[in-house]
Amino acid sequence: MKKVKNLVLALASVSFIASGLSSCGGTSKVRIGFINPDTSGGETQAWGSYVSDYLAKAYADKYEFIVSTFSSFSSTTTNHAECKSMLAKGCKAIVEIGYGDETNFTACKEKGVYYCATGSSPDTEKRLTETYKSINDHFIGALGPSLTQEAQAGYDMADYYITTKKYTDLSVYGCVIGYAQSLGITVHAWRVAGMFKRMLEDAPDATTHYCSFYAGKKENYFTKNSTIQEIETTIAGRSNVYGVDAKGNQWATGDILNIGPYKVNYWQQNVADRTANDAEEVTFTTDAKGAFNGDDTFKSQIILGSASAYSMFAGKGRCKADASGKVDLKIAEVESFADANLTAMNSGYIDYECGKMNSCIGPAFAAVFSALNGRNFGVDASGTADLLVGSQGFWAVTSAAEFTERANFDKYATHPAYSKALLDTMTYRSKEETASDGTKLAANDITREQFLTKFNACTYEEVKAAREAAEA
Amino acid sequence: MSETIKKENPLPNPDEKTEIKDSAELKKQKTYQIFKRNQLLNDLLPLSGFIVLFIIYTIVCLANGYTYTDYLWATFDRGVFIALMSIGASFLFTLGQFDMSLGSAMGLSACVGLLVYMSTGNIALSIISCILGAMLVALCNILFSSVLRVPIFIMSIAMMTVLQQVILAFITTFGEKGSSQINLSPNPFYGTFMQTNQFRLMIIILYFLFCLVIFRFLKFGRKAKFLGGNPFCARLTGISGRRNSIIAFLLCAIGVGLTAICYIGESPTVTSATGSTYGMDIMVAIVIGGMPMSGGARSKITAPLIGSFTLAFLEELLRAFPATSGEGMIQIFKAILFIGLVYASSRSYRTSTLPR
Repeated sequence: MKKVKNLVLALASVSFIASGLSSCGGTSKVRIGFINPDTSGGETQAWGSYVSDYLAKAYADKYEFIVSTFSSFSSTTTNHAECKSMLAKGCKAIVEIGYGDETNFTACKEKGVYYCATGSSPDTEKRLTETYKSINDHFIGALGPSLTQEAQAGYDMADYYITTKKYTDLSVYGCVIGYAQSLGITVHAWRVAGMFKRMLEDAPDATTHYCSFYAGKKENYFTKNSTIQEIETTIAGRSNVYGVDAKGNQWATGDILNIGPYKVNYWQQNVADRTANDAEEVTFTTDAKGAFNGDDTFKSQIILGSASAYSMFAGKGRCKADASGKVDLKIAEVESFADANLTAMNSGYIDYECGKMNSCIGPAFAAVFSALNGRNFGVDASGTADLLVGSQGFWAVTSAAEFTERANFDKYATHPAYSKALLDTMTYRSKEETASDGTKLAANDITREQFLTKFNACTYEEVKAAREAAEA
Repeated sequence: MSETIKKENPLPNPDEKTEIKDSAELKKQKTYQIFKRNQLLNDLLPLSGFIVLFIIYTIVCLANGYTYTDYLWATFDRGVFIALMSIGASFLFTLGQFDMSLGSAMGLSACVGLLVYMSTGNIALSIISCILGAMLVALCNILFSSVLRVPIFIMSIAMMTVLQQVILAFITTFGEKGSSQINLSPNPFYGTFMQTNQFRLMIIILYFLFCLVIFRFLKFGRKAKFLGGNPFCARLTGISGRRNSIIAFLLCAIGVGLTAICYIGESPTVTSATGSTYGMDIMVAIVIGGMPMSGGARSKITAPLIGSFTLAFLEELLRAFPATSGEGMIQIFKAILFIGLVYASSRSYRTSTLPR
């Protein structure tokens, strides 16, 4: 009996190995790695699906895509380990979400592999010189929204409610600002800075101090003339918009800030303490007063979220559908055009959705294909490294009809905005090639400048027109 | 059976008594054989698991046309940080203790190392400060634990958050204004030996040999095993639990400091989250390598090394197949392996035989 058991176990082991091997034959295709350091968000999942489900099929005849699946928030695996593994697997190019990682782009350079960062790109004024001192001729570019555009997303959201809806009592949700910054992610702080900038523009004079808090005896504050970068630096340095006032009181959610002529209730989630979150969420969504600067007249008219506010507040306090299905306190957020957000918009929770295209990372792959075809957009005419930096803005909608239209246009797994046909127009080809369906692809002598022009034409109308023309 | 006989016939005749004695002896022998078999299985399971994984890994690598040497180095790099910290942590495990804040301590040491480099530009000073930083954290752990009379494991959980806040304070105070990280760019260690795989290999070999000598051949190693196995008896024989704990924590801190050196050599970027995910994997690696959960006499210094690289090979293999490459799937595999090995090792303790 024992021998039979051992035999069965041995056979099972052999069959496991055999089945494993059968699923992984060698390949003659060019391998391209995609490092996606967060597999938990709707946006990043869409990017992963765009590569594994769409690009992998669309380019099946030529390229093999290796997609990383780790989460930098919970795993000991790092983007560096993934990059090394991809290089060992023979990848000829690597696309990574983020601003660009020096360890990775130098490792790629050493192996003669092309590297392109996407999803976010550095602020051309502040970060470019500081972050990319080690740019090299294999680092093609950083293609995504700039930090200025991140701030613009927050600015536009606040502007919509101030100018169009005439709101004066606003709740601002600074999504994981402190925690994200500990991981080097600053986009959320830039979006909040954009919201505050819009509110400060309506201040009656340039001398009044707003959002004033103390570090020892030193007062930190905003004025009408504060720049977005100054506001962002103050937010980032404080780890919360609130702080200690002149009397030594530590303000918190429910203490109302005056920013320009507007009243603001602020909340920033505490990643480490969910119990504190629950209590603060109640204060935030019910207009309950804070301990030091509560305001009986404050009644929030909208929640402005620097990321997904729906997942945080739906069903809580005034942000809850009543018997007639009406939601008293609605949400504006920077997230994505995912199905879940459409459902939330249809059910009255989300009033304003702002997000990147689900397939916004497509052009980075076009840049990589071009480099593999012999034209690297990351070098100038003399062959010197000259990083390609693009600025790809957001899409914003205020109705379910607009949302549906954009989501249908950008179906990332089947027919994305950046479809193969559109990417082909952005990809350099020196000679005619045959596509997988047998059709002839014409040579495409696209230059760096032409590529950037196409990349920066990122509004819904522009991308729609470009795709229709490409697919015609 | 023998108990039934005793009850029925309290005074058996001499022949029956011999029979009962033989039967008891046989039972004892059988129990001992089962114990030895389980012990052998327990000893060989981690190493044989590692070898099997390595063979599958090699086959997958060759079948897919990966560059074998590069792939091996990539896997080595996947496991080397966990390995360095877990070798040191095995002293704590032997004593029956564990420190969950090792990852964050590594982050703080790396932060100190980078700040020293930023102000002096001296690599040697930076290396020394990494080690000293880790030792200081270890001493704080012991000090707070002694003063507040809280078990070190509990203290270390609280310290994880404290250390992250200390890193954040350092970044805010000494780093670029408004920045959430310390980032030396371009990498000042680029092109130096400190950035290479060979450096990391050399460090781990030297540190392992250092710990091996202490564990196997010096008094401290034997005392640690005794303290872990039976702290009460150990104290009665005059062995100081506190003194040996301090030594164990300092030896562990050397490993943490060395990890910080390797870390900044590869990527001179530190945020408050640096290292914070390592704590659990260090514990899993030590157990997967064959270390008994209770520490004591059967502790092995080879366990963390085998465990760390078993995890690295396992993860690399799982990530090679789309069906198993998800983060959740990998965590589930690790958990199953962890529970399975804890169960297997516990089988060898379910006897009346003392560890030997």
